[in-house]
Amino acid sequence: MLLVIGFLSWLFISMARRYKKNPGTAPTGAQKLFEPIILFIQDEVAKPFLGAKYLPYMPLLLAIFFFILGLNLFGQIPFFGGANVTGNLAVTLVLAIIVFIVVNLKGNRHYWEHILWMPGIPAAVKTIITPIEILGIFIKPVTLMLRLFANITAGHIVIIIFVSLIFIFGKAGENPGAAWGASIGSVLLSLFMMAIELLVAFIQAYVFTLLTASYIGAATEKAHHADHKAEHH
Amino acid sequence: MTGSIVAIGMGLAAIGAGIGVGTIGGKALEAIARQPEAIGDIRSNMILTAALVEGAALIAILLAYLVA
Repeated sequence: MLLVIGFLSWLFISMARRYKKNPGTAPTGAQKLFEPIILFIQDEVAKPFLGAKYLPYMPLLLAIFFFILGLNLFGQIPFFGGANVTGNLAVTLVLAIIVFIVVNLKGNRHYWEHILWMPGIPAAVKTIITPIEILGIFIKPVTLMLRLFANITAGHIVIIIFVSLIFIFGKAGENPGAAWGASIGSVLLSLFMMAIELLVAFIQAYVFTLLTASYIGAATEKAHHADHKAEHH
Repeated sequence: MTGSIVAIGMGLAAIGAGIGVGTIGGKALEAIARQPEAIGDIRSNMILTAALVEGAALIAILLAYLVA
């Protein structure tokens, strides 16, 4: 994990330094790869959910996206010795705790009002909804944590299964011929599964970032002042 | 005995995921057929919704895995 942190920090700091040195010029080198991705997160993830005040949260969203993406991709490398970090519940738990802290610290009055005493519905229903909403404060980051962990770990488990097919077919050493035959099929299946895992790495990083932006946007949005009693959302 | 019930549970979760993501994909294809110029928006929303549905199914599989 420190390797990924060091690699990403070196990459982004050197890019930022190059931007500061020649302002207003066309991007070169690694900037050409990362600038569209950063703009994608800004335009598709941050602006739709956070509205006008998206700029303070951009560093958080970008950090979450590239950190999770880097960790996912490094975890795919076999025999890398301890690189499968997002497959560890503790790491995803910390990421979820960060989201939990940011969302609840930045929640404004209307966010807490909606949770504790949701306006616009009869009082009997409010007593049912309030415990559910309070549970929701904790369950939303927990689902973030479990989603990322389960997706990455499921991919790794399937690869382990495909590799151990070789040993099963060879009956653990008794039948080398069948083991060689099974290894061909197993390698092909493993390649296919690794391709899917690359896709899952990108998608999970994107979904984590998107949901973080969505929760922060829900916590910091202004109230809808127009006829609150007649029509609620 | 617990092992086979766990396996049945995982299979049910996989069925749920299959039905869910299949419905999402089918509706997305219908929407693309109706309005081909919105294909970018439809594709991103489809991937997002599919990830959410698969998250639920994978949490079920994960918890079943933890039993056995």
